[in-house]
Amino acid sequence: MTDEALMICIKNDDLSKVALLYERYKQRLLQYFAYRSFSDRDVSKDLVQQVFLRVIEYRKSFKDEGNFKVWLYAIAANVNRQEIKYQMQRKDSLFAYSEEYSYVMENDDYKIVHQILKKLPEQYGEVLMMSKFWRMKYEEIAALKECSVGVIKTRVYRAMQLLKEAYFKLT
Amino acid sequence: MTASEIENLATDYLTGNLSEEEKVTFEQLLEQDERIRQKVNDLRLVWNALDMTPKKQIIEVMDDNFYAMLNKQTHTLQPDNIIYRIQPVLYWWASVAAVIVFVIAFCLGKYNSDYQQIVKYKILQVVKQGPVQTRYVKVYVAQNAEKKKAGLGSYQSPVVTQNQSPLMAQLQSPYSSTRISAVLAVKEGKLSEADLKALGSALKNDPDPNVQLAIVQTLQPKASSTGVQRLLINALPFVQGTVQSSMIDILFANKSKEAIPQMLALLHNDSTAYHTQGQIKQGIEEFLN
Repeated sequence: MTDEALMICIKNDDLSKVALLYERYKQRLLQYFAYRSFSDRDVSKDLVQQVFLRVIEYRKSFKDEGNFKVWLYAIAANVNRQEIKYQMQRKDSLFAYSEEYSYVMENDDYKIVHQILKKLPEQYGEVLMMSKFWRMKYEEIAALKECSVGVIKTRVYRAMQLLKEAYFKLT
Repeated sequence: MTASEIENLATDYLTGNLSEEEKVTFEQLLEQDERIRQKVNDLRLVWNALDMTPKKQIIEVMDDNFYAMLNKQTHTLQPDNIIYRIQPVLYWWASVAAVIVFVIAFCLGKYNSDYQQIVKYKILQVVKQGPVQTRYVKVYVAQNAEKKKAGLGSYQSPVVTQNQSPLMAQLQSPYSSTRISAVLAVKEGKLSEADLKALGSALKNDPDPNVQLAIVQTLQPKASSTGVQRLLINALPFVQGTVQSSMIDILFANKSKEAIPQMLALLHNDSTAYHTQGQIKQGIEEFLN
């Protein structure tokens, strides 16, 4: 069953299908929140749960012909934005990164890449994450960002170029 | 193909933005061209560096939390009890039924009740002059009677009968001031039989000693008449204190023989005040002398 078909079932109050979507997206959501500066283990998993809670709450707003991945990303981005706002208000130590406690490193360069990614301009970093973690096509990102496919392509190319340059400079 | 074009194509390849045909063509190109292969490998290195796998225990905790949340949401959304589903409908019908019953009851009450026959009562608070004393009088209020100027106006009219003297009516006023005024008004005029009767009745029954004193004072100038003397003699046992003393003085002053038996009776009455008894003894002695 496609994501959209599952979401239509959820829209019709079949909440058991939420579990399937959760299994499909939990890991990429975790990665997304980790890179989006909330790599604290509790915060990231809570944010993932918040995203699915909103999926249930706002299920009726999902359009039958809509793209689930894009819709879910919009929710996750919103949750992320609110969390940043909340953390800014609290100004506590949650901003301190602690990925090493939460994740197994794929390779030793993880920290370097993360630092580079964080230093990338927002528009480049964002499209790169959408492409990497959400596996979104250029067309999907363009639809979400409300700009042309060409613009998105340029941003992704530029992001990859910057990432590569910085990476080889540091390693 | 420029270096920039190769990098862009490699990016499309890694991000999964090539079609199947393009992908096959690009992979063939990779095998053939070392320069392109090197570019793609460099990019792949950076691309894969972004990967990370969350720790197993983090995933387990997250799963537990998620399924607990999902159960809660499912339970909230689909309660097993069918009553829960029909409850809103029941509430709606109950509301409609309540409104209908109310309208029917209102219409039945409005068109079937004989409200003209209902006797209404009004509680009036009557305040007397002198010592504070309040009594409540339940009076009948005519259904279509016009509103009186004051609440007491409706009290007076029903108790006045055709055979009753105006003085009697005034002496029945709940206000002591009204009764005293009525008595003092009589003082200046001539006393009729009806007035005498009214004054005698008031002297016996009026609860206010001031009214009684006013009556005694009114009767004093006319005490030479037998009628007034008899009135005073009859009222003697019903009055007390100063009023009684005044009446005894008046009777002795007018040398009323008819009063002697009543005086003697009072003398032997234990309830008669001591100084009144002395006053009676002294009066009888003076009378005999």
